Amino acid sequence: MDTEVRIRESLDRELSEAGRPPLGSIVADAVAAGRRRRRWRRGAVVASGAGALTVMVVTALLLRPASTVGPVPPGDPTTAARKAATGEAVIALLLDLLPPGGEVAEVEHFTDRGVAAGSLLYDDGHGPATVSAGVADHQNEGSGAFAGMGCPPDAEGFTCRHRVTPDGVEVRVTTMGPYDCSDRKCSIKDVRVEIRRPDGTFVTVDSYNGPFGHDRAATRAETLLDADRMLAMATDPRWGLTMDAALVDGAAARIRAVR
Amino acid sequence: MGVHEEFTEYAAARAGRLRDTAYLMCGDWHQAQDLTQAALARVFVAWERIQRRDNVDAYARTVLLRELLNERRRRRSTERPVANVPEVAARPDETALRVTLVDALRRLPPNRRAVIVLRYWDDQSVDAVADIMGITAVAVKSLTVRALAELRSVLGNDLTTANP
Repeated sequence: MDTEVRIRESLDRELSEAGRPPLGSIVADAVAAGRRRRRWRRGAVVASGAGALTVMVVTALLLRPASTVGPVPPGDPTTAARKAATGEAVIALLLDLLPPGGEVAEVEHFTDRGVAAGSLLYDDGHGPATVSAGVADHQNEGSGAFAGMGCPPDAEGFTCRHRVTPDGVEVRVTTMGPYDCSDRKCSIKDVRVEIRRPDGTFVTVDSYNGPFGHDRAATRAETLLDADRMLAMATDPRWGLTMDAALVDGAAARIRAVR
Repeated sequence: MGVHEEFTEYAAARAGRLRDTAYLMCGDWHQAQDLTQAALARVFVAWERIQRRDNVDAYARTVLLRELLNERRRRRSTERPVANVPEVAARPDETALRVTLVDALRRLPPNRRAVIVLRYWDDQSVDAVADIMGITAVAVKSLTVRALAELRSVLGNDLTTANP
């Protein structure tokens, strides 16, 4: 009997004798976990009880006239008082980092243990496009491929570049779409910049070439923000699992001001 | 059939096999269950993209392996893989100790264990394992030779000629 057969038989026997426990709800649990992960990755809020409220809020936002945003002088992240990051604070910082003068709508944000994320629709005059951002601890980082595993192979509609800076910061830039199909949503392109700091803090910024969501299509050929701009945004020192207390406390009012 | 139904059908069909793979790699059913669920969650997130690439199984195995290695990395401060398998030729009672292949596998570093499971149990080709693990085919063969040598040092004549 050769090695291959002997190993296979031994492992099969081990599996049969080890007493497989029932799979239980593993598929349903995976779907639920996948949905949570997708919400975090997209910075969307559709969760359970908050979902209905979010729908009402988003609907209200859509019915309101959009207003403009502009930069706010940044605080000093090394000396300012800190508070746990919130989805609202992510939106507030995102507003500071976006180019001035655009119109904002569809603000959504999400806060959970170890995760704060937000997204908004931004129109710089060339059509609305989704921008999202988030911070997370290492338990909630956006992709296992990021944890020192480099990039999966490029494929149709998908590219990935990964590097580590001399100070130990991992940087990954991925593009997804557009895809070669006739469906409207295939025209959507997403550029994502992910930063993993040596302390495990994970920062991600996404920019699309149109509104992200069901049955929506591109409003422009390229994403609203280019990779260089997104990299500058993602490496901003104000991102963190804790953020400037003034930014956190003032985030709600800041969001109201742009509605 | 909707995207959700397609994924659910796929996951229901593959979950058992994936969990078996995870168990053989980690040696613990609870951890295997968690790893499989985490891997399937990632497959769910990527479903529309990977479906078009027609390599869902390879993607699922890849994320499963990454979950395992990430988990190992998180636990590394309290647990370290054994680089060299201890000699056991002088065991006084081989039958009582019942050193099985699985026991020996558990002593291998994760990458070598994964190569053995993927190649010899999951019946993946060298090239397929290289894709799953993100390494070259030459590296797969090298890992296989090293892993078999370590297994043979534990199991002795239970393993015959290696075919890396």
